[in-house]
Amino acid sequence: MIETRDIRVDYGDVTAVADVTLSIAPGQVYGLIGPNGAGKTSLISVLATLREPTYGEARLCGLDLREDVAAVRRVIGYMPDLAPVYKDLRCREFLDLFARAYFLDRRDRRRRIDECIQIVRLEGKRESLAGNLSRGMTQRLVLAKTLLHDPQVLLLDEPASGLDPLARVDLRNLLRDLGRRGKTIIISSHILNELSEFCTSIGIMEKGRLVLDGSIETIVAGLNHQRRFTVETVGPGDAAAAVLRTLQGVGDIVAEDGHCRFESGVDDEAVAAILAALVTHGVRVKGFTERRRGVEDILMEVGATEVA
Amino acid sequence: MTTLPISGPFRLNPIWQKSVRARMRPRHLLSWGIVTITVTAFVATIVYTNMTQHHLTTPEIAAKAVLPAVIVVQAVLLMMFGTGAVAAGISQERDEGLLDYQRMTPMRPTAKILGYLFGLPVREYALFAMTLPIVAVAVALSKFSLLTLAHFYAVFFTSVLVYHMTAMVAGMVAPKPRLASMLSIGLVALLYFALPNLSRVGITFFEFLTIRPTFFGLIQQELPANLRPAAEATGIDSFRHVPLYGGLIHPTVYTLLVQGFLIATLFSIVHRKWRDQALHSFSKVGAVIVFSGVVFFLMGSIWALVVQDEAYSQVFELLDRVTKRGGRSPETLELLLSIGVVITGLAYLALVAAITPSRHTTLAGWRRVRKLGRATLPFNSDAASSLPAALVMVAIAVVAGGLLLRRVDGLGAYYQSGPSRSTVAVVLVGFIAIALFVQGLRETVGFRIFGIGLFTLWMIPFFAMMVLYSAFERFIAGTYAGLPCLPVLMVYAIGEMLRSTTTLPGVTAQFLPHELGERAGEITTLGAGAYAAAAALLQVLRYRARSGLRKTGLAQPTRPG
Repeated sequence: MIETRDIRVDYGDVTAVADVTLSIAPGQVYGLIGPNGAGKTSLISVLATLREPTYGEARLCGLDLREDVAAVRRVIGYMPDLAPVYKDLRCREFLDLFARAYFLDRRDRRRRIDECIQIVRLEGKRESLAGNLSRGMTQRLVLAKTLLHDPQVLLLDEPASGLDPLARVDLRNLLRDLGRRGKTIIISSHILNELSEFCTSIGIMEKGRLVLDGSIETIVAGLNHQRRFTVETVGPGDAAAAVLRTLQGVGDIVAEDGHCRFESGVDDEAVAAILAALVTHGVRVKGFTERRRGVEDILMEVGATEVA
Repeated sequence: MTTLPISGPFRLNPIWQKSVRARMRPRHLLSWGIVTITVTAFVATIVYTNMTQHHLTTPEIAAKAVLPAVIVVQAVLLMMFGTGAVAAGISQERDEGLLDYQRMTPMRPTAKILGYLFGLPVREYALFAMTLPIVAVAVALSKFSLLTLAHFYAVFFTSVLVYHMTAMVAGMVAPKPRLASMLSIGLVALLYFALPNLSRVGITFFEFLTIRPTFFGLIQQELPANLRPAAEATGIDSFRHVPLYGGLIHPTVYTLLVQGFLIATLFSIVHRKWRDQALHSFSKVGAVIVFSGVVFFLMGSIWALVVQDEAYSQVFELLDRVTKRGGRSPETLELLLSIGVVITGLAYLALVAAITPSRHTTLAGWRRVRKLGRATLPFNSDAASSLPAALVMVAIAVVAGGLLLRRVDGLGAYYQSGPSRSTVAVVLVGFIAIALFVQGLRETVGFRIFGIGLFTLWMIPFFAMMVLYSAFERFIAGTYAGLPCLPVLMVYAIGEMLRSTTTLPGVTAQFLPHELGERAGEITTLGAGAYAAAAALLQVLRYRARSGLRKTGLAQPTRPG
């Protein structure tokens, strides 16, 4: 669906994107992660046909980004960072403008505008001026615009920035739903752990390079075999920590009030044995959970420490 | 708030419709409408009542006098406010990133351009429409010729389009969006206020980009002589037949020709920028066509002045009166040739600067050649060298100049026998060398160094020359110092060329400062020679740099360590 080879973007002497080679299959939700200045926006601009790379090639839905610009633009929906809107248009008028610009016929246009307004939950703001919307609502309006022509590929640059927690949940659900509908999505974001909940794969960029790329499971498996657990105890976690220190293959033990965290590379049988040992040694366990590794954990481990 | 209903041919243009929705809200329209109607009615009333109450003229003439006043209000609305709305609207959308949304829609670039061109100033058009009832009343009272009025408004609206297209180009081309408004103001001031003054020496092209000839010549002509403004008395701004080459052309046709040429040029720039913001403002072929157009119109004016007695006396009557020569003076030929060469040179400079690829563009072009499995860069590609196009432009200029000189020779009105072959050769070598120097420099270094380099090379010597001339009266030293300055060298080369002619019996001509004496030939030869050497060096450097880029571009990219 999306393939790039050796994409490089230079701004004078500064290299924003350095030889990025990507392959994203149809239906994937791909999280592009990295600190400010990592090259995410430049890469998305190239994929959106808004910037020609210094060199390198890219194909999207089988179309060459350089040679078939008009065709590529029909299949992509692009939402830029700081999503601008025509402030003096009403939300409905704003969407109508782009529905017409994408040549949706009259009946489809109305239906599609209604659908998109519903998807982003802006029903109550249909007749409000776009300039009067809050930042989060503006983001949602632009997302609705991006979805209008039912693009196969969505390029979303920081769509969650400025959204309140509830809106983020909405966005997450929406993107998850779009992914299920077979849309291929590239999303850049600083809301790292949220990406891990709906991204099927991620790419981590740092200083213009793609330092890691693949499905979250693969990356987790390849990076570190340590599993992270939390033992919740009645009273201080020191007793649990003392027992854990006596066990083989357990490390990074941190005891705090009411719980104790530790890491271990053991299998499920051994995990059951650890729990049994805690109980046997009189630790009053009220909870025992494995903490799933998020994207942020991965980032920290690969060294992209500048991530917000 | 409600939205005005939309109908007409622009119904399907979403960008125009967007502007109608955004800028034509009834509350905005009402406020601006009240101001516009009040001001227009005041202007009309004060003109009419002053004339009738003080018994200065008849009510019919007074009503006629209302029209120019209302037209000034209309010009302010569409040419000032409308142009501002286009420049500000485009630059703001570009700044905020909204233009990228539009760029990505499948609408054709032409539809997008038309949408913005008529959409951004839509409120100003509406306000203009509000002034029309006052025009109608004035026309009815004065029995003003409707044909004349229609004629005037045809030119008025093409002028408005020229202004608005200029603003759009400024908005699309300015490297930083916030510079767009300044660039727009600068372009409008240069094209429509400064350059039209060249009509005082017979270069009419720029004058007819404005409505001034039609306004002063056609509308004011309907008024009695005592009510016409002084502008007409200056000999310019009158609605006269325009001398072009050997004939005369109707002013409206000429206006539409020059405005059409400029609109087409500006449209092609904006069209390219809509297709891809990174494209050069002109393609190589487009630049050659634009250059040909500039040379055609410029040469048309100079040719007409040189060969037509009436055109000549109309423009140079005043000069002749001062020199008490009567008839043609050889110095006017020098002046005309110098103006022609300088304007042609500036057009060449601007176009070569616009079509010459940067290192990055060249490299990207060669990489694309490799990807597509081609052998070479197409001539018209942005990545291709600008040298072939530059050579074509030089050839056009040389042929045009050659034809003009031949015509002057045949006329026998300026000199007895023409310039010597050696001086013509020096001029030719000098001009070609400068052209190749400029192209070579532009292609070898970046745009910024090119700009600063030319400024340093041309302006510092010019300033030094001026100081040596005015403060120390050192003419020879000053001329040597000023030689690197392109206009100085060009003017001296032409002066030297004309100095080698044999003047008509009883006529003495002063082409160059006489203090230069016999050194003038040596000085211009030195200037031409120095530029030829510099051009040769730069062309070698340019060739080597491009060869290197070709090699790099065709090679497989390597990942940096």
